[in-house]
Amino acid sequence: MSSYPGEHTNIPKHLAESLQYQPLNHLVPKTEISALLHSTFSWTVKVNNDVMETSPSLPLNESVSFQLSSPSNSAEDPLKFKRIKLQGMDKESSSTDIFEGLSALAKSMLPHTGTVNSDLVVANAIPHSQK
Amino acid sequence: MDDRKLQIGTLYALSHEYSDHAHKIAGSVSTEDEMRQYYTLISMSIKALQAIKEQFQLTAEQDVVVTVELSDLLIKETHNLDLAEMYLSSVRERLRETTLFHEKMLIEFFLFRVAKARDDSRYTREAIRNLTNLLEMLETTNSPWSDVFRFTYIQFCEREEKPGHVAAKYLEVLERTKVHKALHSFLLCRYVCFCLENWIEIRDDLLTELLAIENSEDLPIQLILWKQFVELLVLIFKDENITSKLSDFKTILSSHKKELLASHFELSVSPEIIITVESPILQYADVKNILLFLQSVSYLTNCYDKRTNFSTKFIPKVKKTTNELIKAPHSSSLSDQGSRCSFYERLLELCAFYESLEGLILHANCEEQSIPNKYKPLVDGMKYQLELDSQKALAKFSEISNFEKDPELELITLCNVFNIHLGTISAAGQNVSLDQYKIANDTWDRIQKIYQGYGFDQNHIWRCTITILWITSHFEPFTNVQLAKTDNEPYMDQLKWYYLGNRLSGGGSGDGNNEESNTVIDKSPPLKKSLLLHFLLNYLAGSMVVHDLQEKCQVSNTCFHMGKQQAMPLMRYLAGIWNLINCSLAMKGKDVAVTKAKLSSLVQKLLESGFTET
Repeated sequence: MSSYPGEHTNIPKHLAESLQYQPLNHLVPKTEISALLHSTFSWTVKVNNDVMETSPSLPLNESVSFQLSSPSNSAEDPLKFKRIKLQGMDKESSSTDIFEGLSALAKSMLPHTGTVNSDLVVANAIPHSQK
Repeated sequence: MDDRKLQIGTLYALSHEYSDHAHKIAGSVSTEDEMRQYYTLISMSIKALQAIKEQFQLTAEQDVVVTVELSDLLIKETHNLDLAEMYLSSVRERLRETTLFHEKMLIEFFLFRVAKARDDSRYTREAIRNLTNLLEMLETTNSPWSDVFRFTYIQFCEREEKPGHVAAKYLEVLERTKVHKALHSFLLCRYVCFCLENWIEIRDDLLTELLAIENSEDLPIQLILWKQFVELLVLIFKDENITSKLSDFKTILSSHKKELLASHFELSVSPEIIITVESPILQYADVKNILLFLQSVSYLTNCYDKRTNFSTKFIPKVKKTTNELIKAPHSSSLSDQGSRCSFYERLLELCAFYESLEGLILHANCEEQSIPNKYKPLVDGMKYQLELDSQKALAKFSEISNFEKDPELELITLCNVFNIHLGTISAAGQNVSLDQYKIANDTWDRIQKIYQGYGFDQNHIWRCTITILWITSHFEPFTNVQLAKTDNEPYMDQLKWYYLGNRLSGGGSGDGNNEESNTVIDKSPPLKKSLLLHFLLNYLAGSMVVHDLQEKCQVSNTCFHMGKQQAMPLMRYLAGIWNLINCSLAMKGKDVAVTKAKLSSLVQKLLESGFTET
């Protein structure tokens, strides 16, 4: 063949030299798909709470005082709640009443002192050294 | 200070009311204040249970129930795992003198849940040791609890041990749990998934067993659905046709829509021991969304073909639906809401990644999107290759370092890296340095090691790719500098085998039609459509295996046309040159003239995009 288009250019004439500029885009990664679907499963054993219906060892009218604000162990070992990052968590305030729908009894037991402290809602787990 | 006299029943109901209500509104928590209110409710729920424990004389069975619920709340909602462990341990002590076997096992189970929540290697290893001892102890009792703990055991192993060891342990566990059909089936699904994502070969008989699970068996529909998903994944990982599997889904979804409103199901190990399993993907709307997503992945390499470019049509739909699903109301703890959110976000990232690949296939370019971190160097490296910047591409590819965790990603990267090194030594020709030659050789060795060390040869796309790379790097027309051959290399036969199964009939698009239908020819099954692969296969085979000039002309002509259907101008150029040669030899003057003209305009375009005259 006398001459052909591109003969006097540096356009690769060998497949090996062309392939360096051609990623193998037919190889589609799939590992993450299986990992993702697999990871969505959570499981536990169901606990049958029938025993709570009857209190054979207690007379039916027995009751005790329930002091919700009493610090049974709050001083030394307060509950530290999980801070979860959720979508749309940047709103300043909203008008929804979270406590709406609770029974009268439940509402009345809520602490007068307000809600849980912000600093008790933390992102990271308690380090092991703390007890 | 509130100081009420409450009965145990009221207090217990109150605890449930607080946590149920909290979980109901968890989906709409969107401010700091609302989060604090949520946790106030949870705090009340916890305190009510604590008060029951502290102030009532509970029976052992009651103590177990209350403590387990208390621990569950602590695990789910707080970081106070030590507290949960303390409660459970003290009940365990109380039970020691009793014969309440079921309760003892329940406490052990929840202690392992605490260990799992710690998410720490040391605790995981300790749990594995404890489970081994427990299982040994249970050997003699023949209790169904053994299978529950086997499940727990394999989950801990997954976190801590090497994939090969875990796969072996799965085999043991599967063997032992045969008695409990539902649990066994679920574990089988998990085993197959585990093998897929670690590219470990699935044992034949177990795969057969999975496929044999009938839809009509007495299993929850969600489990049947999950089994179908796993089968679909197997097909996708093997790059096989998914059409009939899709119609299986259609049948199930149309007849079970109502049941699929719940995303959880139960596995009964015994009348007393019931396992509840939950996953966001098992709800109707999610099932359809995931199906669309999986179809997109399967059809991704077809995106150039207007008749089958499902990925181009479906991925935007999946993104839209996923964004809607994130906002859909769902009753669960705040941390479960968070997990769901993060699942959807990962799904969106994967969609963005596949869209990027599509862009690279169709247009040799893609937009910046938020894709999974592990795939970023791959996409960037591929972009640099297309921009003719080999050095930057190599730099990017070398960032992919977590190799043991993802052999697939490593192999894909190495193949591209190999091509760059091969191109370099070919271009150097006679002046090739020993170092460069060695690098190319070493890369090929690494490719072989991974390819043979995992289950890649079960996948025809991979087998064909490896064959193509070998042929390209070992024969003269394709490279100026060849890597050394040894005897008994199977690749030429493989090339022929794949070509016979996938040759391009005149003007067609690789549907594998074989005119000699009377004779039985040993040929490969048709390969999944992907333009680049079919191009390379036919280009190489047409040069090395085809001797009939007319056939050669057909193949080269078709390759030349293929090169236009997606962004691969350099491939098109090679095919054009080859076509010129073949048509000249065959005295096809018109074809020569047409090809020359098209090549000239192609050369012009290439000169504008970075190539130069010499």
